[in-house]
Amino acid sequence: MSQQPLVSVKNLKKHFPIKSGFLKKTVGHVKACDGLTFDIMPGETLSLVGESGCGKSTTGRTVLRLLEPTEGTIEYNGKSVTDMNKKELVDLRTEMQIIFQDPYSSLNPRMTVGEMIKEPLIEHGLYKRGPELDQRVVDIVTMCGLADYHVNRYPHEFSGGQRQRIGIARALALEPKFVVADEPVSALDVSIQSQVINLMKDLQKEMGLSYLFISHDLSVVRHISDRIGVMYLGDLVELSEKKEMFDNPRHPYTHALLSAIPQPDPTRKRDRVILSGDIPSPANPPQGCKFHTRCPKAVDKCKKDIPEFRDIGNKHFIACHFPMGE
Amino acid sequence: MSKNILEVKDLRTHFFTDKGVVKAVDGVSFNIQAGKTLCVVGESGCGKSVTSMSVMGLVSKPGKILDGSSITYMGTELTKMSDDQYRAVRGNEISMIFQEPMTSLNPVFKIGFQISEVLMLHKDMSEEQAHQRSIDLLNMVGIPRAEAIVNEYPHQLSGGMRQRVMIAMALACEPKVLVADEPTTALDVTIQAQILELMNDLKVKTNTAIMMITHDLGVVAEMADYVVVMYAGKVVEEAEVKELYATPKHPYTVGLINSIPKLDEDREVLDSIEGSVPNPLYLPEGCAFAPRCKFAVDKCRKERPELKEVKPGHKVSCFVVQEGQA
Amino acid sequence: MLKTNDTAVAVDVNKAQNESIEGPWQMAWKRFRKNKLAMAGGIILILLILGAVFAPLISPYTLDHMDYTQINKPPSAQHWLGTDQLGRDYLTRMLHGSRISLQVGVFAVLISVVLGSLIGGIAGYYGGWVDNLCMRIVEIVMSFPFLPLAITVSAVVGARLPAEFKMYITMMVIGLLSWTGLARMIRGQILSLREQEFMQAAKALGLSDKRIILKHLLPNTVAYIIVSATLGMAGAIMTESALSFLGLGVAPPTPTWGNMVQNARDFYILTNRPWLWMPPGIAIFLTVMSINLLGDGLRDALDPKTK
Repeated sequence: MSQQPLVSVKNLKKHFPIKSGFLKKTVGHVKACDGLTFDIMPGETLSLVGESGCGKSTTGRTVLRLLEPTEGTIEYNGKSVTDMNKKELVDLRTEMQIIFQDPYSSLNPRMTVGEMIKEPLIEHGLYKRGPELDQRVVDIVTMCGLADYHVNRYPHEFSGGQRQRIGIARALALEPKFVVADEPVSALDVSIQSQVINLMKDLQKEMGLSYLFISHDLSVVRHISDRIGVMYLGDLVELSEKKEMFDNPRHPYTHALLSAIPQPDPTRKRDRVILSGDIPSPANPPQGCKFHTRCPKAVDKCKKDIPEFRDIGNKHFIACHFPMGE
Repeated sequence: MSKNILEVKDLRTHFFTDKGVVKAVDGVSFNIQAGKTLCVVGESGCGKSVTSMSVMGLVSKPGKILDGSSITYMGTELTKMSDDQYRAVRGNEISMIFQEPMTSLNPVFKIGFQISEVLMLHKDMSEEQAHQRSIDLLNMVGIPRAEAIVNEYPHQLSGGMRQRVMIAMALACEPKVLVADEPTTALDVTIQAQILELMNDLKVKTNTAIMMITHDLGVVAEMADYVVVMYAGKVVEEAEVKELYATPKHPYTVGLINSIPKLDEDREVLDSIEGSVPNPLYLPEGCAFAPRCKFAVDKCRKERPELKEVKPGHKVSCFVVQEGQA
Repeated sequence: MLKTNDTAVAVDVNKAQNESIEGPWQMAWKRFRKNKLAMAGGIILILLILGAVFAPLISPYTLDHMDYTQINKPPSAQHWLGTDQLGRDYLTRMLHGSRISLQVGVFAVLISVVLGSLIGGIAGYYGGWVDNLCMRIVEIVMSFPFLPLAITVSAVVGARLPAEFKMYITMMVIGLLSWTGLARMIRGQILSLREQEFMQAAKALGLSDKRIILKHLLPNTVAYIIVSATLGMAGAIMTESALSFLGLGVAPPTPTWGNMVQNARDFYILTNRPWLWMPPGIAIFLTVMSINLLGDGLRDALDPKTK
């Protein structure tokens, strides 16, 4: 039985103009997100991974229309998000939310935890001030692993991991169906990361959430994803189910990324693929296949022709002229 | 068994703030040998950075290295040296590289100058000699077009390149010890792989001893010969790297290793360590890890355990482990 | 039901459940209290303000009481600060003068704070062409040479109005020309706040613009406005003193510290009657100094450097 995707993104692009000179003329574009197509099913977690400059954060925010897309369409539950007007967009916020990376700057230092969570509930008319609202706030907060008396405290009294829990509680207050998690554990200590990831998984089961999980850490992503998409300089270079991605990476970049991650096992022999050179600037990406400057297998064709993002079977998509293992 | 180049015995660095005494480092001992890498591992607040600062003599008010601490470099007691004497050691015999490549280089000086400066100061080289040596060093750290880069400014380089420059600066005077404080934490994973490989190569070439501070257990497995695990200012476990990963004994180490999501494992729920690192101003009585420890017994909450050898070359600071062995 | 991580909670919060809640304002007050110089500045300022407020009550004489037998007398038991050339008690004049100086300081700053926050706020929040327009206006105002403008306004307007209004003219002139620094600072503050993730979070939660500005942006700028206003007051008082000294501000017989210092222009008075110019000079110095100490202390206390 094929389901309707909850979120459907087609050829999404977000370009930032580079302005220069006295009259601020546009001299170029940073193509942060350059034509992405993917779907997210209800209850599923799709992860976007990549290194700096790949555009994953930009993609996450553009899907929510926190940034206006330059091109492409976004659909939520069959309805077009790209065509919505301001009011419809505000209503949409009760269904699509975001969790941020930095636990220190994502909370208003002058509001208590309770106020932060009450605000969206009141603003969208879901509750009026009163004991019912207070109880709801306590429920959300305890569901995220904090205590009820925490609602009266200010952010600076909490640790990084706790603040992230507050951020999650705030995002889930409106009971959305789709949550973009923008590197939610990258700023946390290792032992706290696993707490928060476990929490997110539990909440997903309990509330039937779909996640777009953005991260640079493939090992973190392994534990929470159903499907994984790898980005490089604004393009999706590989997209497949989790097991397939780790067992059978077909794109040379994915392969290099996986082998570059230091594993906590000193006895492992590493057949490392060490990429040469630096990540090119997204304002000036290479011609043809953007990865050709660092690809150990690049040939002439790669320098000229842009590879298509195509299905190579087994729901495995790839953008490469010569996928590995072929 | 090679001789110890650097011996740290019972290092205590306390910060006397108006809120109380922060015992950042509270009785830490370890030795480093030539051509070997010692990794100091721990999460934020464990005191690992302060340890490296203490070795470099860079602890400033309100911090103070207490009497009774000893840091011996090639037989000379560093804690008793004057500022001038220490300055002759820093950068020359013991160098340091920092975490943030974006801010560790002076933005208004050319790359070549920053490296030459070190050479002219410590090695009394002339400007031309230093300039030539700078180019050689940049080549050694794998920077392409070294003759051109020597005349460029830090903002023209990427993070990975800047970190290479830092390494070049640190190795310019052929120090015997290189202290690296989270050198790859701020870098992308493919660039991190490059830098770690570079450091290992250079270590073999120059026989420099490396003291690496990190929170990443994967990096430790890649780089270390010997590992020291810190928690709340104390060493809780130390062993050779293979031994530590094969049989970690301290509950904190076990918890850390288990809470890392690993690439080749598929688990539903990640192990996590409950709670979070204690506030250094309010350390609990007894073992600092007891409040979070699954195995804690009464004795743990009342008395502080000492670091004792439980297997040849493997020391642990834990009553439960020590008594289990007895 | 998800299990609450009880151990996490017990260890994490180092305060007991019933310990008092420390909001950002309480923390700031604590920090401020520790700063002895700032507290001293604050106390001196409060005393000066009290002196000004209660001037008519505590002055030994009325303002226009002239005793021709006591012209130009040095300080004595009868007249603690001596008398001036018209036999008026100097202490009385000093106390009344403080009223004017402080009033001008406060109102001028009020005008500049309102203008500066408004324009800086709008520029910072809306960006784009609005920002451009506001900043060009700021630059135009900033390029007016202050003193010639003050002289001109004073001369033109002051000639047609009775003397009492001079005080209000001075307030207006100072206020209308000194808001630019604050505008720029507020704009900068808002620009950096906009990038903070909690602002994006507010937008993602679907909060209205009005709510975001009032509840999220403004409270985080208030601290800076307070500090700026405090320090601005010192500047305003100095400027008023300078203007009055030059005869362009408040004119005699209304006393202000500025026009009382005017007495020092005469070399004879300068050397022989120090009680005529030293008290107002010292008063100006003390006021400005204490405001600066207070302002610095406020800035250190309110600057959220702690995490």
